[in-house]
Amino acid sequence: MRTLVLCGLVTGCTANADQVRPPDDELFFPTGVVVAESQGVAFVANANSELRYDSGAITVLDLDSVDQVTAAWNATREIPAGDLNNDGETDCLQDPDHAETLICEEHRFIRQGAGVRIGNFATDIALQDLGSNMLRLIVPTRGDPSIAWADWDGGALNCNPSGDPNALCDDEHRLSFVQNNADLSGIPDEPFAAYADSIGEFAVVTHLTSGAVTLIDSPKNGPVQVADVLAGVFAADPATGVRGATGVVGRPSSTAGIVYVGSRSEDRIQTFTVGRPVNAAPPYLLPGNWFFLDAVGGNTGGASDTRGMAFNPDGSRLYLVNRRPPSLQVYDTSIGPTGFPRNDGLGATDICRQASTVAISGSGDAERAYVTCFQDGQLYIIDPRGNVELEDIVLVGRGPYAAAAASTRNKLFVTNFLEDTIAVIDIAPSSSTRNRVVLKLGKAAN
Amino acid sequence: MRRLFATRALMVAVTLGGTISCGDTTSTPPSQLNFDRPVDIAFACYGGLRLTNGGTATVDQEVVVAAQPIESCNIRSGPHETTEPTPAPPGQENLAPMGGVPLPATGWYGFILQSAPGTVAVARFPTKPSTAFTGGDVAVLDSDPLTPGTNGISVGEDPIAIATDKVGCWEVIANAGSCDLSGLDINSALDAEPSFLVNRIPVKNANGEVLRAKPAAMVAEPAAGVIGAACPATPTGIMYVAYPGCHLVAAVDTSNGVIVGGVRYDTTTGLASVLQAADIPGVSCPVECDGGGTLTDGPRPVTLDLEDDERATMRARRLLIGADNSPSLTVVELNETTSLPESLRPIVLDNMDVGITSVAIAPEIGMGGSNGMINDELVATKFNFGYAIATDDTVRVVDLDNARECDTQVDPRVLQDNRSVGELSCLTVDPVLHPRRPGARGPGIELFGEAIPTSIDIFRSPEVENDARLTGPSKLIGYFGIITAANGATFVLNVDDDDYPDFENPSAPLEVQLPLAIAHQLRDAVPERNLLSEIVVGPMRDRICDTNGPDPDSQSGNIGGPRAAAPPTRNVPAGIVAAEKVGLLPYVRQVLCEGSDSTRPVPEVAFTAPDAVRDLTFPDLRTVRDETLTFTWEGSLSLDRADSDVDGPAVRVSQLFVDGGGFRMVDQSAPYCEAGVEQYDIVQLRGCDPSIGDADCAIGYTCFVHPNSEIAGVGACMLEDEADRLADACKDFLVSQRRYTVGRSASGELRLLPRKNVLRTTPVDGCVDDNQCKVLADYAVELSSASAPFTDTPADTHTWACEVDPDRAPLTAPGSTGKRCLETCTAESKCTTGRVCQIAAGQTEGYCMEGVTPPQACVNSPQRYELRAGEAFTVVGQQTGYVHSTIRDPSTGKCTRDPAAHPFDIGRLSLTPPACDPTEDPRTGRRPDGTFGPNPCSLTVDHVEAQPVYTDNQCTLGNPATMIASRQAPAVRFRNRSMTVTMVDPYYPGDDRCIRDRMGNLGKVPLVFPGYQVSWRQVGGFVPLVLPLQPAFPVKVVRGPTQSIWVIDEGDFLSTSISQPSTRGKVFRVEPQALGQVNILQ
Repeated sequence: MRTLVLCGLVTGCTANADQVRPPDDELFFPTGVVVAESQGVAFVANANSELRYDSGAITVLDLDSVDQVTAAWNATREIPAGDLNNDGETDCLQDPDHAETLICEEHRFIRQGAGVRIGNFATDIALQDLGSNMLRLIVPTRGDPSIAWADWDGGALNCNPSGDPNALCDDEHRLSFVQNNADLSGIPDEPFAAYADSIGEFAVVTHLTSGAVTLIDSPKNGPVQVADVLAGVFAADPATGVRGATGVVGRPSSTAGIVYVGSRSEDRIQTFTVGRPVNAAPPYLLPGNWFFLDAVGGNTGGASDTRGMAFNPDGSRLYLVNRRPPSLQVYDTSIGPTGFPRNDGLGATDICRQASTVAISGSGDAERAYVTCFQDGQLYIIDPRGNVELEDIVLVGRGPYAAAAASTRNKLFVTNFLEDTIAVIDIAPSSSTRNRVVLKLGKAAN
Repeated sequence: MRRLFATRALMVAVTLGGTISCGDTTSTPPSQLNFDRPVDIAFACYGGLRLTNGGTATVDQEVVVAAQPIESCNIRSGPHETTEPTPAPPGQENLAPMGGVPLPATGWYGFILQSAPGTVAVARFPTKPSTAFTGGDVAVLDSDPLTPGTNGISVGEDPIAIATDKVGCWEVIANAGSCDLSGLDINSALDAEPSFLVNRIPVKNANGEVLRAKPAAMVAEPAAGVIGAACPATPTGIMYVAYPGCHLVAAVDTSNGVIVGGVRYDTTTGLASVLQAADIPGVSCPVECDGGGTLTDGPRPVTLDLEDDERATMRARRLLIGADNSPSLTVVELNETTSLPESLRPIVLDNMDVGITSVAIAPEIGMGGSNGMINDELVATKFNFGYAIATDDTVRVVDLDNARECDTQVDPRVLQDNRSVGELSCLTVDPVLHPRRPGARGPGIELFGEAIPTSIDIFRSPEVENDARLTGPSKLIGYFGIITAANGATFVLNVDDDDYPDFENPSAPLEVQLPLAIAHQLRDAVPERNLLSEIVVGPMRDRICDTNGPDPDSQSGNIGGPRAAAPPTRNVPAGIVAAEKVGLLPYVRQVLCEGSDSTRPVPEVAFTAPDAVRDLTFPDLRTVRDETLTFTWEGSLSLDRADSDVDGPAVRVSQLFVDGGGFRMVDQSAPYCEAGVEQYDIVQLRGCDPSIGDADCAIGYTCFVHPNSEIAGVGACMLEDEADRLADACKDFLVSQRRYTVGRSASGELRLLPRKNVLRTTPVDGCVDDNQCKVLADYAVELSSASAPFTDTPADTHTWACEVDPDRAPLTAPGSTGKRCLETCTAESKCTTGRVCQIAAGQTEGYCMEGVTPPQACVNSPQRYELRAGEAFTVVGQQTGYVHSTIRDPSTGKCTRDPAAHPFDIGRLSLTPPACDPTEDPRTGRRPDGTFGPNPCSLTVDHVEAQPVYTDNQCTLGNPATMIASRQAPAVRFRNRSMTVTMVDPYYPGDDRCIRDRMGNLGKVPLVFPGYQVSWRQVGGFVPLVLPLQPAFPVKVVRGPTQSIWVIDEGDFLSTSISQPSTRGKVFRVEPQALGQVNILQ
């Protein structure tokens, strides 16, 4: 990478294909992150937002390696020795500004050859469990626009029949047209957030600048395709004319769940289910009830510009990150006496401006919401009990974008978009480094 | 992107055009922000002080500028004549005339805690009476003039509470981030020197072991101290600090941080107990700040309040503790000298599932009184109330003296005759003695709309000398609460309004609205609730009838009580009932208004209805909303439009299946019990609108209109490559109305039954034979004609059979035959438009169907449909929606009526409900044994109307054409949460010769038809009084000096206007005697 930059600056030479191929041991503008604890890995979408390379990528992180290094670091302050990639720099060092943090080059934790390459400007990543230790990733990419998908077979991601390591996803794995038919319409611009439903075998992607919602049919053993696109789900902001669908999340359920979609232009959450016709035609989106975010923002024009959304594990609580006003809102989504989710406001708290996503970890008294604050480089940790209180603010790096919890490992992974790193936060309730960055994957550029 | 990152990051930001930070296109103006997430405030008194040490003032005593006890400023803020000097505390008098040193000015200071930066901002305001505040009185000071901006003082990490110490010399701050206390020397904070003295105070037990637990709340022991004494070098007195993770409320000696007492919760039993002397030295907690501790289950105390009322008759000094995971409040009696706990009592709140997030103690209040004077000392009925914000989003009220909860949701219908101030001040939680109003969630105070309460405090609003205020919502005399809510509203609560009657007035039913009279009710914002339909003529008041009451849309705001803004209207589509015959249709009962201007029939919901009628029609002001009410025959159960979310989408989208399980509508979100669907309700498929192309259909589907369809504007979404092929197979389905009966309703599935076409004029007690059906069919046609019955009118051309329809609800009217007139056919052409002829195999005659069971292939697409009530009016309010008590039976999944539901939680009425019980109370609907009579119910009522006057048997109208007369009309009485209304003429006997002569002998013929609607705009509903503030996210309300109201707003306001700055929090000061008098700090 650094060679390439040097070449471009000094000699103006033309890079060949190999030189612009993204390395499979680096993070470059990480955005979405998901954790597959059962597989011991986390998947990170690299957006390649600088267009330094010819594509983005999905990188596979080895959680066991993270555990081993952090355990030794926390116990004895052991710093892994060596320069495994021979770049002339020691791989790991103690953060000079935060003594509790170990900084290591990310290649030590990346499973090289296990990732794949995708389009540029990936925005999110969603995980579908296919069973039998198989997983599927759904990644919206804004560059094309398209929606990439890749299957995990327990050892590596695959999205190209060539089987080459770090292969570029082929056309079949880049969904750009409805029913993969170029004669039909393309997907709307600016795919933004994604949710995958393992039981329902579908995924839903929102679109930031059109308010559209795209349904992807993702059967375990069949072709993945864009099945339905619903436009105009949300009204335009009367002041700006902008309309947009943003956060999307499915309510955990033993059957295919209800999908909740938020908006940047309305203070409204729209729900969907997915219908599968009996004639084997593609599934379609079925709009359901909606509710307004009236619990906050009565004096500030309503609680609009919803961003991240997440459910707690049993689906009884929905967490919403809103930018206007900056707030984390908690809704009671437990099933009421009518058999339908209550969708009632429970509480809220003021948070940072320009928050982007929220992740949930723990349950009961240990349940916490983690909000990434892109602008401030912070992670807000919210205790949802009682009055919904801010518990802690953690500096995690520049441009924190998304977070994902490895609950059984008591770790939270935060992608730092603007410094090509991932902050690993200790979230063990009784740990002496609770809510602190104990490991940072990648050395931030100055 | 406002921050400058490394070059590379900046380049990326440019590359992305800001989109990765998610498309924020709004530009906010530059602004100078003082606050950043303010969360609490404490007050101090600072200024000139003669060091008398409590002795008599002399001219030679030293005068300093220093912090001093709060009482010093309280005295200086006391009311006084403008010509008189400001009151001064003993020893602090002005001795300048005697040669003494003049005392520098003394002022109030507010220390505003900001959690985000961990700082305290300082504001100053003068010592003067609350009535002298005019705006612009409070100013934020810059604590560091050498640094740009208006700066605060750094005090700690993640501070959560601030309180002034006992003698007024130190501010003590509880820090959740560092698990300790900070002491801020007030003198150093306010003097001219640039440095501040902030001491860290580790909290430790008597053994010297430091506690590293996170505090959640803190209160100080009552202020004291000697005015004239110099400040000590350390804070003074006790702070109570709540440690939820430790299940402890510790009494901390602020001079050294040592725990000297407290209250601890047993982690097993959850019971609280006073820390015993032997246990105090060894108190320990999990190490939360440095990690490593093990947190345990158990009550988590998170909120405290301490009240010291020297006037109190039973107890002066109390601490109230709430835990966010326990319904038990703990009342701690404190020693009046040491402020240490002496004893405690739990008060367990109704509903064991709630927790408590904020508490407040009111001073002792002498309840009752209505003459505009606070009468605490004059009455014997005194209460000390506690208030608790509960996690069920209500505010609970407890009687601290008697350790019991008060029910604030008792139905005013049952309190009509109660004349006991003591009882009304705290109504016992007892569902038999004090049943709650329908729809109440529990005994707590419910806010308005979606508001989630965040904090409460109680204020005394004293009488104002030469008071020019008019009695009304904004004139507060007595005790009131302010409740902040997450949505930004700040509600006013009546605790003891000494300027409003305490009881109903039996001789003047509209004089007093009980929800405005009794304690612990949200205060109403609409004036003149007792307004009558009168004009003043000299010394007299004359009743008038030619009015609809005050203009609810007046620029000066609405006044008066609940009423219809105009007489209810009948909404009748053209072609079904002729305009001349619309008066035959069901309508709201009318009563006689006798006025000086006219005498006329008026609806019982009208402003001009007699007082007693209005009183019974709207028995509970609190539940009445300003909204349009509709009574719609076979109306929709769900009416949500793009801007509402009350009862579900008006047009839903689900899937249809035709298989071994029958014909089923399936929705995985399980919305049907939530929507209130009952057996025999109607599913109306909406298909798609071909005028908008395929926009109503999913991708791959087209909006297909069968060429034989006679229903305009309705197609069906079918796969593009299947539509033509399926046209024949789906013909009956596609050309029918596609209306189905719900045979079985479960939360996620409706079993649909094909629906035969029934003659709408089938008597409510059933038909007897086919001939009667023929006559009634002709009558149905006649209704659409403007001609009088004696003239020739067109006859019906269809055939009808009087038979039982097993697919409709059984007819249950007394004496019913159980049969209906069903449209029969021998061919498609014989049926009414939109019905299809379905003939069973081997038969030559069949039935005309409103919908048929289609092949599955016809309904593979997403199906748009409406849910409608079957053979009933739906009662729907624009705000309140369709109210029902349908729940899901957990064992069967079927929708069923909640057996525990209040009988007034209902939103539909049929034409033939059970007979009313004559013994039931007309107001409460209860029988003498306490049970409810049927609701709705059938009865006969006096109905006043303008009846036509015919002069001959040719139906020539006389002059005048009508006369006002009363008749005994069949009726249905309907009670819901907010009103009791009677609908007359659910059926009609037919006319003999002239329209409305009522001399027909057709029997009990219903004239209603799907979509028939009676509606009116209901105005004068309850509107809560809120403070005229615009906080983004108010988190705390605090009673300040001179009973001032301080609202702490921690939320960010993001401005989109150049004239308005964006803020990161605000603080508001409001004067209780003038709620519009607001000082804003930001």
